Amino acid sequence: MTQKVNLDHAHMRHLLKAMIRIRRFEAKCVELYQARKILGFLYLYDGEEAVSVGVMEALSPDAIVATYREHGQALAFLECQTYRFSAHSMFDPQLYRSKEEVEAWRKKGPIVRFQTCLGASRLIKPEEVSAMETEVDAEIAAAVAFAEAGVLEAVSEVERFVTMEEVPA
Amino acid sequence: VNAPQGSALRMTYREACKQALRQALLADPHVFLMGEDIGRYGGCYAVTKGLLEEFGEERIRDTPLSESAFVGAGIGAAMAGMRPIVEIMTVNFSLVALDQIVNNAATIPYMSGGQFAIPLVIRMATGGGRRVAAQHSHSFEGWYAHIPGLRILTPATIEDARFMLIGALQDPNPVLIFEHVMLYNMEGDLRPEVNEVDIGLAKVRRAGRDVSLVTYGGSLFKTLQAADMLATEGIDAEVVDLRVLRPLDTKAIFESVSRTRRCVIVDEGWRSGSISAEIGMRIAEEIFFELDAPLRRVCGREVPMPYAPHLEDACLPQAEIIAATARELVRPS
Repeated sequence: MTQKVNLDHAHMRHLLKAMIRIRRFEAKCVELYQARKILGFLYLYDGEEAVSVGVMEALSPDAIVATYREHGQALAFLECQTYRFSAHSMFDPQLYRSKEEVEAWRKKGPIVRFQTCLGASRLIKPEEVSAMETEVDAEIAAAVAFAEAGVLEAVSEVERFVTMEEVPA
Repeated sequence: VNAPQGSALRMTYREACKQALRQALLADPHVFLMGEDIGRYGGCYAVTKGLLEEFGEERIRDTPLSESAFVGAGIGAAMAGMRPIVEIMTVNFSLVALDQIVNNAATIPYMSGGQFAIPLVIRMATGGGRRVAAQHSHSFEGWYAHIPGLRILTPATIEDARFMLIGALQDPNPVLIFEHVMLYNMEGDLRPEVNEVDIGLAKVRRAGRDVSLVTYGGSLFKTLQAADMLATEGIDAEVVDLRVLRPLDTKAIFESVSRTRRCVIVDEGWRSGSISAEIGMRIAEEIFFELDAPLRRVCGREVPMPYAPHLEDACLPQAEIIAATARELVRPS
């Protein structure tokens, strides 16, 4: 990535906000997992947000359909050397690395670096970042409220989509 | 983890599995373990925790994330005279190694005209109930029971978890051991006088006269619970634990059903083309005229396992439905 990339203000804000959204969404997931509202496995992505945001930006308007074995990874033809702050799963006691190592990498995380870089170049003001965080938190709170207000799917619906009636439009 | 002599020893199913592995490693230098995260991490269900420290990296081998590669390596090692015990995290992931298990492990003895044996043991977790959805929750042990050349073990009790492995290692053929995920935390007593079990016979876990409930693995305890419910209504159910899905102990099944004259087969796997279908058909072929009622089954609902707890529970055999199915056979409404 030696080529100079020119980013306008709106685009930079968009990228930063997308990364902040992922980070804060995942923090909320941890909270809900600990409250046993999310069950089973939970795999986090923190520290690697730049990959998904960057890849989706490049692919747009294409989409990626992912399942659990793609977590923390991007496409096969890209090698993205990343560092994930969280454990592999909520069951992982992280016997393979020290807390100091994780802390050292946190300082080099994609959000803090991008934010610092934009700030140093005066491309973004601190109050813009706080506004972004507030907006993202509101989005997430709305999503949680929506989920909490949802009704459980009826058991009679459990066979829906085992086979499809037609190819979706 | 040395077993004291003389008194009943209380332990979890997980601990029983671990002690079995430890005994095998101590008894035979040809035994070694391979699998994902079995060493430093201690196994995804913590069965192998502490074994790396005790036996070292040569014998407790962490593998890359490639089931096909490490099952293949296990087959090669078994052919060359070792006694590998391979752990696959869950039965769903074993499908990645299906080519090695079915096309190699199960066929090489036959295709080599008996020149090679494959004394390989593969352990894997199976079954639903842990809210881990459609890629970690299925029961494919009945599928594997379709394959000639394999022995399929489904230990449900602490005793079987503790001792079936010894028998499996003595078998010159590939043996697949299925450990139901909901059993790992179950506690029970090991009788001090028992230090081996057979790996060929079904066992009657509860004797009864009115109906045979035939099951295995994680469904055993739901079925015993159903039998208790039926007992309160004056229905005396017998519970048969298959223990081995291939080769099936049909003698034990026929003996039980010939006495009770009624049979309900309980299997968490999907109904179509299942081990329950096989059992039902063998009963129909061999002892049809002993029956006083149609054969019945309680199986897993034919859907990829849903994630939501209320849906997952609705898709698995439960004591209430097992009891209701048996009740209808004994006392038709």
